[in-house]
Amino acid sequence: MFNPAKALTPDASDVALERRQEAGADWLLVQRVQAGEVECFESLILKYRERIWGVIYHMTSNREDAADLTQDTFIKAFQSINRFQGQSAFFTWLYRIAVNATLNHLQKSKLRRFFSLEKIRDEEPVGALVDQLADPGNASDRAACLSELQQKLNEAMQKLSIPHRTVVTLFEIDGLSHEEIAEVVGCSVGTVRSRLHYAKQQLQADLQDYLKA
Amino acid sequence: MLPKNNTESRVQPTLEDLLRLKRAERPDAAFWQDFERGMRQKQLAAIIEPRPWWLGLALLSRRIGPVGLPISAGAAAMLALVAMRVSPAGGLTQIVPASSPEPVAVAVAASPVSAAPATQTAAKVEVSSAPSVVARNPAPDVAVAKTRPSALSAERPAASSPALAVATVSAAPAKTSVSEVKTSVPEAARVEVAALLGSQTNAIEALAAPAPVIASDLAPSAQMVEATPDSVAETFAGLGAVIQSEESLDAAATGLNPRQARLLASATEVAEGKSLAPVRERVLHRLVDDEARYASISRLGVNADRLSLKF
Repeated sequence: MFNPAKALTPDASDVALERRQEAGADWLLVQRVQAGEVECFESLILKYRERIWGVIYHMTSNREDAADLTQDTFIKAFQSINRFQGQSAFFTWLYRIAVNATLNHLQKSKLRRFFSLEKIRDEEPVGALVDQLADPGNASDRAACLSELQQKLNEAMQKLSIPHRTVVTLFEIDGLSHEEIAEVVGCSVGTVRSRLHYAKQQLQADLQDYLKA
Repeated sequence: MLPKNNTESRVQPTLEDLLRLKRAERPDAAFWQDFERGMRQKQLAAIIEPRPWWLGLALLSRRIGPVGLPISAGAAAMLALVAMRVSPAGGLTQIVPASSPEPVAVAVAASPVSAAPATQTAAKVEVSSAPSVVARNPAPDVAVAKTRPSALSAERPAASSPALAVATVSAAPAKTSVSEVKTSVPEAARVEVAALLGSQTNAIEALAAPAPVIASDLAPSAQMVEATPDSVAETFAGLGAVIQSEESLDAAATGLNPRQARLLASATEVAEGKSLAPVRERVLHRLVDDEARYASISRLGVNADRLSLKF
């Protein structure tokens, strides 16, 4: 039987190795930008824009806000690239800028929230997951199931407090480790674990109709 | 909408599976084209937009961070130095640069002693950095004070004298000269006053200095002194007795700060006729210390945004 969880979850050691390689390559690019080769920053933008946009989008549930904040994140990063000393990975530094910008935005627009959701791409792992929930033979039922699931997921995410939502987004959706999240958010690893545990409990309570008991 | 009846026979997803479903929420290529365009515009705007004023300060503080610590320490030291000039009682003593040509009277407001019954005149002696001691007796007013020249009238030659000893007289007119005053005052009293004033100025010499204006000022008083030499002698000789008999002396001393009380005690010793040399030495030492302190202050200089420190 196909297990979508395994299909969606790469091995942790592979992820760590990939992150280290990324960090080394990024540091070389950053050094070149610091030396004056500004065009190297374009490759950093192209590399990270989808991930940064994803983090911001899942925190705000608004695609336009996510686009604006992503642009702001890269501009801030470029303006302060000379202050980056390479003591941490470039992507955690970039994530920190993005998360801080998003938190500021969410604090400012607490009372005026609008959802503007992106369409879920019906790819193979997602299709397998939807197949578990909807009738595979009925196409209209499948699309409606996907849309309803997306809406429920976003509602459940928005019910979480901002710190809990941030941790869930970074860990479950973007795949950062506890240590990386602690570095990005600026708290201890224990706090990250605690927030993650509490957030999952709340999400399970909200999504219990779609989860196995 | 979800077919819950059918799901019982299938494997239900976990929460992690559902959350990873959100990874599939990705924008299309058209969105990224708009993103690129917006990014270019914001980059240009960021280049054109002037930097906020606080950003410059933040960068400056970051650059001068290693130097900022000594500057802060210097500022703290300067503040401490200024704070040292504040008296414990809360009052402020006057700070005068070392280059000031004239010494300044430091007024210490001790309770004046007034034991003798009020009579026609009183002799008042003020010593720098010492409490004022006023003894009332039938002698005319004779005030010897260490003061600024500006306190004197411009026509007085004594104003240009280097330091101390100005006699102000307010009594009936007379024709006696200063030398007569000098001779009429008992020798013991003159020595006592001179010792009180210390080595900076010889009060007797100042009194004897040829100054017609001072002489004219002193003339009425001198006449009265001549008229009543015995009473003047009694005034200075009996100063200690007057102070001793003053019942509020100790009470007044308790209300003062320790420094003033110490000076008052030393003044009492002087009035009682005890050795004057230690008092004079103490006053001299204090003056030397003050001058050193003023010199140390003059080493610090503030010019606009610069702080200079001379070693």
